Amino acid sequence: MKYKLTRGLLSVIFISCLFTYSGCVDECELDSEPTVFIYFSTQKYYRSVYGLHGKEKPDNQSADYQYSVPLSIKDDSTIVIFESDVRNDTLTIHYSRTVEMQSARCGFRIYFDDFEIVKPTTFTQASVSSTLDYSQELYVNINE
Amino acid sequence: MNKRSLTFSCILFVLVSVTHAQTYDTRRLYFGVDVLRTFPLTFSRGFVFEPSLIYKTKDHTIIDLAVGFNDIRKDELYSNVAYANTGRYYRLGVGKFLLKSRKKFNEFNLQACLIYSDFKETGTITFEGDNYGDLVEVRTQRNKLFIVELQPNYWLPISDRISVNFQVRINYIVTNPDEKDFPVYYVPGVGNVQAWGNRDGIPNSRRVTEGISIRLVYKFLEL
Repeated sequence: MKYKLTRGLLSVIFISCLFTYSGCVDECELDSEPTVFIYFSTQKYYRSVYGLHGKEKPDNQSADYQYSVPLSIKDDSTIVIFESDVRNDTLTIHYSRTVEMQSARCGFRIYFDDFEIVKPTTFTQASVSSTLDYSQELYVNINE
Repeated sequence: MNKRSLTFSCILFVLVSVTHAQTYDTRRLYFGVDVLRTFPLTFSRGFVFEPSLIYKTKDHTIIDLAVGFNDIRKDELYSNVAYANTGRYYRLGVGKFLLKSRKKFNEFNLQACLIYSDFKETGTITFEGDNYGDLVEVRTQRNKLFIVELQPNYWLPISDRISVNFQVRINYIVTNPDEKDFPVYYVPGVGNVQAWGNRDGIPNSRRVTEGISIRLVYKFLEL
């Protein structure tokens, strides 16, 4: 009886530890460029969707409802270019950045805020979430 | 009585209450150079140079004047900060022989010092951006601090002219440092002032620090 109780207790402790560590997000890993996910209300075909002045320029993308692009940490805005065979679209996201110390372990971190869609933007029905979520992701919805 | 005057009073009390030593026949002048401070124990690269002039009276009172210069770097102070510290400091100390009789190997002294440290700290913060490029921000803060130091030390004679001076240093930073951008990490003339622990919180600097030092001393004049 006593042996079973000890075994049960140890199992509970082990499982708790497993859940605790598997659910952890290393806060220090959040220093890289955040990602903006752009959702369309209808399926769109763009050959290439990329950030202006960025290194990554994916080609031959398939038609989709969703595209993703990294957000610039260097500037206060990121211009997203949507290239297709018939036309090019542009989306500009503006934001503020503040560099503040987070902790001795993580050092400094960039805090983003005040996201808004500004000109030049060719979409008329675009909206952006006001802040990044916990995993450094931003969401844009386009209803056209 | 505030903290500052209490510290001064304590140091003065210790000095005054020290027993009078046996006298020398002559007054002596020494030149010293610190050899331990320049070792990169709390920094990655750079130098600390601290020459000093020491005067000993016949009744074995010590007057110790030091000037220090430093230019040090620490490549990774926190996870994304490269740290640099450039400055200078001046130290004036008064000391007394601790024991009743002076023999060859029993030269224990107690010194009280006042240090003025003027330094600039620069933190270069780098965020890596794989797609658009890195964000680099430079933060600079300057401090001019007064520090009081209590320094028990021991002189080990190597020859008639050369001695090694082992020092234990207990410092109290009297002036409030300006830490608007990041906590003060290194105070020239004192050393590392980063608080122990608290790795997951915003670190703060310590007001009371302790350390050891070794100085090579050369007697160049007897009066």
